Amino acid sequence: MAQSIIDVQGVTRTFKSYEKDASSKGWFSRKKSHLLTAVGDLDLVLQSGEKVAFIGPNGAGKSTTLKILSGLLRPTSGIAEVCGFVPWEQTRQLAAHIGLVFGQRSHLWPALSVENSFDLLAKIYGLEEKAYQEQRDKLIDVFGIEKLLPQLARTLSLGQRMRCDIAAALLHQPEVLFLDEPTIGLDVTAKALLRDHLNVLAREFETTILLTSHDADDVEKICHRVVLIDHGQKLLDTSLINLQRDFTHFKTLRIATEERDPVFVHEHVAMAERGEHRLVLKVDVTHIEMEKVVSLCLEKFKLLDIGIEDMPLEEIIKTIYARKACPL
Amino acid sequence: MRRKWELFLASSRMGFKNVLADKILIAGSFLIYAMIVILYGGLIKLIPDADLAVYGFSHAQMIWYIGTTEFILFTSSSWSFKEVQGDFTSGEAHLRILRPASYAFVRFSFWSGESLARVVILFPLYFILIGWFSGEFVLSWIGFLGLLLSMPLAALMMNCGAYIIGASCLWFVQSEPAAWIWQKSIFLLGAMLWPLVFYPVWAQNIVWMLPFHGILAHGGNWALDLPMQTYVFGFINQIIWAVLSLWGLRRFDRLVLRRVQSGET
Repeated sequence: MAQSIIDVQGVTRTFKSYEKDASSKGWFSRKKSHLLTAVGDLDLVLQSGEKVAFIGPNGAGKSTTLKILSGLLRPTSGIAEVCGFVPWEQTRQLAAHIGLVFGQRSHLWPALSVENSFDLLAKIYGLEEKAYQEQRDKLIDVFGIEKLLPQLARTLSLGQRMRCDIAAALLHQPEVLFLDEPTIGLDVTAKALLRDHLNVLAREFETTILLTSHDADDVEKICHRVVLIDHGQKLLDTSLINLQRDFTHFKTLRIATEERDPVFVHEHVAMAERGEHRLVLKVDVTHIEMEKVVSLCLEKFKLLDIGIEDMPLEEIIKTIYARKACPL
Repeated sequence: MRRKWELFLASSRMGFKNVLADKILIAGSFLIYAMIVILYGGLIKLIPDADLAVYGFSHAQMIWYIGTTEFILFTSSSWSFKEVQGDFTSGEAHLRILRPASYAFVRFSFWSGESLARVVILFPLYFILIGWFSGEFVLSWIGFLGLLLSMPLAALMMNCGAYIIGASCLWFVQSEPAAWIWQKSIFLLGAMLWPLVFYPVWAQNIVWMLPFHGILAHGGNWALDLPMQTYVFGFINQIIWAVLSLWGLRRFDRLVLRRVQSGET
């Protein structure tokens, strides 16, 4: 049985929020304050090697949780252990076991070359020269960054910097990798490349990954398990496959026909798009089976091509949040 | 300890390279230095000989004094606090403090390398400029060695101060107010323009109890003919404050981590 590498029990973090008092007359007037709960009574267990997406809307408490787990924030209450350390008590000891990638922040020194930044990080983490060289060479290979090594970090493009940054976060072979919006600001190609790299490294180094992202593709391509939170509370904790199975309520059917203007009318099936020799149908699979719609199409049209797409993860997540907002 | 020393060497090597990479900046900094020294030196030359003789100083010694204190200032990291402030306000520091080695120590080591690079490049220029402008080389061999020994200790104190000031933005929103007080204290209490003997006795007593004497005045004193005990006390004072600065930096580093963890920044 796999060992738990992250164990969170009843972690709560509140922040004091101060209100501006319009009637206040001076510096010494007391400001009104109230408590905001960023994370409330959160329980979470991650086994070694798991790849988990931690998702939710802005202000849901994702980044706060990641900060608590990495040792950057002290919770108001609750207990947590990461790699056997209490993050906010044993921050420096834990640092050697975790890797951090915060999308908008960099491990690299802007004025130094990537190579020099790597060398300095090796000293900061106290790595043995041989182990460092081996790991560095592997990462250079995985992320394809050999040509970037002599470049000053400040001259790298965002995509190049992200690849170098993730490599930098992995130089010390962390057991856990926290990824906070790792693909933010990247173009489609760079995102795809980065996801591929992350999958390769997860296989190669068996790193446990906890990812937060607003990009559903990141979640689909990297993670196997999804934890949904909102207002600091856990809404759902399930595997990606179960999430897609249990919450998919429509699928998309794309057909190409010999008929010039195909039309399909049926209960629980909507025509999403119509064009010459083609049709896109949105099928409510909670009321009608996809097989039935396909066979009806086969009866009605002479099909040239057919394709079925699952409900996008983004839509699934929206549905879950919508259900939470209006349970009836 | 060996690991710390290796980290210090690696970080300071990077700092050294960083300065070498920006040749225009260092050339510009020397031009500003030269301009300031020539300006102040010109004013010093206007002081009647007899007025300086009361204190046992010559014009050349006074020019060397101000040339040396300004040199120490120019080779240190007066504005480096902004880097730390920037790291904390942008959140970049979050990654840096979550490492096994202290962020403060890495910064301090990096700046130490930068200070060393500036000294290596600018020292010959400083020596030639002040020698030419004052008309003589007033530093004895002992004075020369004393200066070489006191400069790293002064840089150490300034680098510790720069980190503490930079991180003060975690409490005061901005670091500039603390930097302003620090800088003016160095100028006034570090006796940047005038040797300490020009100060009233009560002010001299205060200065001796603060770190600023060790930062500037002690280095500048090597250009003057002062009683040997002044140099000995100066060195002891400098060493005590250097040790206290390192201790303070270590303590402050823990406070910074606790402050960040409190989420009240």
